[in-house]
Amino acid sequence: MRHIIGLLVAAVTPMSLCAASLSVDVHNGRGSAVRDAVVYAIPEGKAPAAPKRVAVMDQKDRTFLPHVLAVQTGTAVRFPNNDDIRHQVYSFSRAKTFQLPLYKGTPASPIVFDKSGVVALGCNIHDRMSAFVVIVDTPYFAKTDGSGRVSLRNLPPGRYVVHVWSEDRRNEPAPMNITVSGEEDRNVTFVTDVGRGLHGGP
Amino acid sequence: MAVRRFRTKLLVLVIVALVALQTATLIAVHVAGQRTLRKRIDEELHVGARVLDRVLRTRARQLADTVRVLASDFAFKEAIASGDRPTIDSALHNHGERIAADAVFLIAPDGTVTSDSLASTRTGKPFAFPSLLRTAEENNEASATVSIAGRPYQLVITPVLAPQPIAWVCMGFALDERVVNDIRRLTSLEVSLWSTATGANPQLVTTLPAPLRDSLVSQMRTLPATRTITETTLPLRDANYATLLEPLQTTDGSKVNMLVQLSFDEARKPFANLELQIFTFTSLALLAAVVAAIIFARAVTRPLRSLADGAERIERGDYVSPIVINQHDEIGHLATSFNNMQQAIALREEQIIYQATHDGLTGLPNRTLFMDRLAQGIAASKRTGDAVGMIMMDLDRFKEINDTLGHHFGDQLLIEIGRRLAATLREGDTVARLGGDEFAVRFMAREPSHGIRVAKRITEALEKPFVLGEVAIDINASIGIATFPTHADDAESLMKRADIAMYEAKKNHERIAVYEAGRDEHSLRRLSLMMELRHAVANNQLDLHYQPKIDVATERVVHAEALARWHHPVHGMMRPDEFIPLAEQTGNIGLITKWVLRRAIHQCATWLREGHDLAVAVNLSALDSSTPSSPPTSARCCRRPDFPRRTSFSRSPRAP
Repeated sequence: MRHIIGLLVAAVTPMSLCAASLSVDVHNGRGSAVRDAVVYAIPEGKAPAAPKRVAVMDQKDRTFLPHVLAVQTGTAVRFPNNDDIRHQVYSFSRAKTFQLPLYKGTPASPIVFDKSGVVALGCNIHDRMSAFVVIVDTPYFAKTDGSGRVSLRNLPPGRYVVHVWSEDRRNEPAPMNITVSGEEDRNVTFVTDVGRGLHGGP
Repeated sequence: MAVRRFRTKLLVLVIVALVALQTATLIAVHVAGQRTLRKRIDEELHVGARVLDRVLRTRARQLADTVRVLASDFAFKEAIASGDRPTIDSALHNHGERIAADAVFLIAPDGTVTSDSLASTRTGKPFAFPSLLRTAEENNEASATVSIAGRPYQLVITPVLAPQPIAWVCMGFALDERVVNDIRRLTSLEVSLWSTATGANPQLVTTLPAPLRDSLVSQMRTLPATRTITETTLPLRDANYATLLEPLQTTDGSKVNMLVQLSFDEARKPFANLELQIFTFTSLALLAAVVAAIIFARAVTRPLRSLADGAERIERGDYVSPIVINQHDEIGHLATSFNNMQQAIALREEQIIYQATHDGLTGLPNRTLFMDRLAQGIAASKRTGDAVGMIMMDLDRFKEINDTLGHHFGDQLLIEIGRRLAATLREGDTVARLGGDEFAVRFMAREPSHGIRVAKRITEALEKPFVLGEVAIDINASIGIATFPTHADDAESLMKRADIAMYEAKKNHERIAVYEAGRDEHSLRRLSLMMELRHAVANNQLDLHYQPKIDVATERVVHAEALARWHHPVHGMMRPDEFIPLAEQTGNIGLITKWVLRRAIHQCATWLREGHDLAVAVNLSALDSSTPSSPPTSARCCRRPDFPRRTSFSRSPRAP
């Protein structure tokens, strides 16, 4: 069941020339903001390539930082270990299956995530350690903050399919087709039921 | 018989009392035992059910822990994540074996079955126990007892985390004989489990031995499969079991029944033992009481028997043997009383016998004793050949002494005579007073003439005058002698003949007469006449006949002579010369004289009134006029007013 209550297209605020921004509000059915939801807009046509920069999934105090890391397809991610104990980071997800044997410090080569999808990260030593790498085929993505808001800036005018991914995959909101033009600023709200459901997969 | 009855009564009493006590005790124990037994059975069954439940829960938790550790194995996770079916199946098999699981399932996150070691569900179909899966989603793990293909299993389900859940691994552990036997060891109860799910053929898991198991299998389907707890008595072949039927907590309608049973016989055993012990104990007490009662009865009845024997001896007249009971209780006291009574009876009987055989006045043997002694003497005489003699003695004119000097004097006289008689006799002789002035003596004689000597000694002894107070008196006695075997064959006739001899002596005015054979007939008639004459006057058997005397000169009747006649009822009319001498001998003559005089005077008066001036002549006995009473009698008659002056008395030698 999908519980999308509504979709609101709000006022447009000019930010820059020939670029628009999209504000997205994600909250669940009870009205609570959904944090760390990844909102990404896939443009019609070919998307620009990923920038050659390396993302970082840090490990500190037996916790992955950040909990959700969103990257564009083809991005390399480093896994520095900032704890004084060893970790063994792994992923059995289809988007990227890998293992980093027990290590300290930063492994020599970063992992390149060359397929879109969601990778669930774990540590074989510490069952509680959990993190996600969301790989998207677009440079237009962002994570919601504590108030469940996110703003996608500098969107060239055009048609986009806006997706929302959150850790709760049970009631993932349906993608939304949005067309932006000029220097408009659009507001979109996604409502999702956030729970600790286990259905659905990356 | 009486003795036995007493013992029987005592025994019956003791036995009845103790059997009643025993029965009451056994009933009380049985009732209390049954109540306790029911309570115990009830408790044990519920405890058993709780233990079973707890064991299954504990087992489920342990299994869940085990499965969770297994599912955390990195290699296992890796294998599951590989997506390669053969790899996944072999990993499941391998890890299932590690923890001895009987069934292993892998369920995809969408709830469809990926792998099933039992092949009970086809790959891709939804898991058979969705509610178990839902519970696991909420609690991160779940366990339940379910029925798969008619067999009860404990299922444990846990997620495979990488670190996000990538699948569910579910392991099943069959509830088999090992589990129920473990519970049986803990609770001593029979435990059975079986599925009540429809469709599958239910398999029974039980601790019961084979034959009972078959019996239960046949009843399995008819037992209620509700969630209510039922306690019933379930007969399995010959054995009775208290039964608690309780459905196990199950999911998805896969019902598993739990049956907890306690053998009635086993549960009853301690109570039966207790009852047996009580029965044995009370039976022993009963036996002891019976023995004690027998001993007691014997202790009572033995002296009673002695007392009864003693009483019987007394009854038989044995006053010599006393009862010997050496007891100082009531019975001993009773025995002493018995012995005292025995002596008292002996003394009293002796007195009675003495009184019965002795004359109260003189203390001499009486007629009874004398006859006895006489008979004894005759019996002895028959053996020894010696003669037995008997003397019959009668005092002459004792009646007149009595009348004149009074009865007291007569009594004193008799006592003195008895004394003198006794003094004359030798040892072995017997003197007796037969009654009145009649004495008798029995003596043993070597020859018949001995009697005469005895009689003479007696007459000599009586010759001396008797001085009693101021009166001295001479006594004469008539003595008759008869001897056995010369005169008689037995005591009775010997006495009769001595009597006859005595009357003979009296008649002939002799002192002593010896019986002569042949006198009997005559004597007997005389004897009976003598006896009858006493009553002749009273019975009006006498009559007066008048014989006229005619004066030849004037030819006129001068007077009439009165002549007495006795109208004897047997012998008819008797003339005076036939009975007057007897009257003279027996001393009855005075009586007759008096009657004749009165009658003659009366007749004379009658005649005179009729105008016949007729004198009446009465003949008086010579003996009679010598008696002191005769003249006064005549004088008294003459003084009567109607006494005719015409009455004359003439003294005839004998007859009136």
